[in-house]
Amino acid sequence: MDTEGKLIILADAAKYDVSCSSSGSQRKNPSGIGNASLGGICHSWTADGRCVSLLKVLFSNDCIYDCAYCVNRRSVDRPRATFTPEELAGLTINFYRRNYIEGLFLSSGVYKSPNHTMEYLLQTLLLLRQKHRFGGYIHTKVIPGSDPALVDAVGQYTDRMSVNIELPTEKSLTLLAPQKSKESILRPMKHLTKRIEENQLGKPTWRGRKAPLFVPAGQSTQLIVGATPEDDLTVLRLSENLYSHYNLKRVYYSAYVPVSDNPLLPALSTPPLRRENRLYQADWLLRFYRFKASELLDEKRPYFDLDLDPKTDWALRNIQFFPVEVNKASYEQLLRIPGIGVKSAKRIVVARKNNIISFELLSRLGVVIKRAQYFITCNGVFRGDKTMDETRLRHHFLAERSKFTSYGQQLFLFES
Amino acid sequence: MIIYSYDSTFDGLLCTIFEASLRQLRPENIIRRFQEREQQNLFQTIHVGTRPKIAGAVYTLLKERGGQEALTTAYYAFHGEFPQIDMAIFNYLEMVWKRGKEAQTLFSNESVLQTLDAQRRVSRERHMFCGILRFKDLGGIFYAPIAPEHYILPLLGNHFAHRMADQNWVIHDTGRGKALIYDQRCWYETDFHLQKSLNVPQGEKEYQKLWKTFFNSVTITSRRNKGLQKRNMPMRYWRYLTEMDDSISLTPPRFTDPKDDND
Repeated sequence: MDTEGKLIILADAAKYDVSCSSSGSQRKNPSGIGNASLGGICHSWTADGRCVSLLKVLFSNDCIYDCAYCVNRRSVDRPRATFTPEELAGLTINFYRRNYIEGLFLSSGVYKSPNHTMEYLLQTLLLLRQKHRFGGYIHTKVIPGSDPALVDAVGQYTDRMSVNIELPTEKSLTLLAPQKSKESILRPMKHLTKRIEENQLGKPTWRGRKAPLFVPAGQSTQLIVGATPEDDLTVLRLSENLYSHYNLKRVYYSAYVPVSDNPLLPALSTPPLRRENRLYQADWLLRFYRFKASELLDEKRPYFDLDLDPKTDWALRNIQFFPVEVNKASYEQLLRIPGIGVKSAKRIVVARKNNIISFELLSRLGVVIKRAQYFITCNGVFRGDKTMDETRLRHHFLAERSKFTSYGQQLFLFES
Repeated sequence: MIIYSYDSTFDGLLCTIFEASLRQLRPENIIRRFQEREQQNLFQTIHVGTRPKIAGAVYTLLKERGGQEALTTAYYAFHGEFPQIDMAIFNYLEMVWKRGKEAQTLFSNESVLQTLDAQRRVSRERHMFCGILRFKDLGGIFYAPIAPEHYILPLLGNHFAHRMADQNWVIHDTGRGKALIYDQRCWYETDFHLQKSLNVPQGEKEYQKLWKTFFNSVTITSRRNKGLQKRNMPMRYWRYLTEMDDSISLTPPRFTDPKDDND
């Protein structure tokens, strides 16, 4: 099979992995080709609106496992292909030279055995980093069940590594992915966390030289949403734990796209995109807005409101904290106001040293006044609804929303 | 009441600041030399010559007062295509001179806000082009045409010189007739026009096809959302995108997912 044929099969097979970022690493490379840019760069956007940053392919989709939710499971009749390390390295370099991509996202089905697959991935990385002197971004998947020594070796040449959890509880895992176990997923994650921490402490090695870099852009993972009966609370608690105990950089959520007729899986007509979106919003609230999972959801309300974003929802349930005076509120308080983001909160803190903040200035600082006005006062002026009644405001926001969309559709102003 | 005109370089703009402080005379407006004819002669126009030494001195002084960030802001804003931006930058730099680092937080000052806004938009477009610029290998020289809204061309030089350090490249702003040329040592800017249409080698076409193939196969059809695509990547940027080039035809897929409705 030629490269083009393989690319069609192996890019198609990798597309359900949603991790896309190329950020968190900064590498200079004075002699070879390529460097890593700290903020990450998107190179294109596909017709589903997701960005393309890395050449995301599987090394092989010839997998020996039979996980029910996966397009590449052994029992399905699909064309199978496997790259050679030379082929894939060459393709990466040639795409990179044309500025198509930011680097490589290297994943694979389990080809022959976990260690066998991991060795192929390592070979590809060695070719890229040493022969081609490639300094661009590389994200590598850990093949569950592979030897820790191989993981360590790969870690020296890659910017980010990830182990996909996929299913949020052990019960679901046993049901849908019988060849994987919670242990086989968490062990490599723990191992990576430990090695990354050691490396960041910068333990000098032999003769006081700095340790070689190990996965400088950290570790991430992915969870599938909607394939199993777990509620949002379970998913969000898991993420919270992963961020605090495993030091993960990102948890990705992937709305389950129906890929099989297995009776164990739900029959969905469309992927639960809205739910995925709410989880991402909540994830951001955990990482950048200093929220806790327990503030957003609890046992009585284990799911997010699909019609209202988690932050507005929180604000409405805690309406007694509002309105907040923007000229006086602390940074933490500002972050909790719907319509104010991290950037605008920071700008407000800087701006109010020299200015009295008015609604007009607030809007020029990037605040969404239409949303924020119900929760703030500007120098004593309040423009929102005077009753401050939760139900009333909730109705108001829902009505606002339905002006643009009919129920059940995605929230987009311009539909093609 | 006077107007300063300068040669539309950043150095020139810095010289107008020196000129103004020397004469103790604030200009009513600052224009670029090619705009002179558009102006009515109600005001007296003074041509300010560009002297690199003076520009350098002004730069150093401002940097001491306001820090590198203040000057970078001005430099980025300067490359934006906004009406009256020169005067705004002039006022902004005056603020930097008077108030130092604090100048960047004076959001209630119209000129400061205008400059910060311009800087934000220019740097956003620059970042966009770091991603969506596409090189074609014309046999040892990598050529990339771009058509940005703002004059971001010179702001791309260092990024690509660091990244594509071991290849010769040309980035061509087709709308403005300018190009950056890099020869594996350093890059410079020059006037640039293509005499005839480019001859794209067969090998290059193969890679273009591979890229378009990849681009199409990573789309998840059940999540199709053209609106989101256009919001993230406005159509005005599609002109030179290899993956959006309809003249590149693909081999019909030998295999399709039964769940995907092809389009």
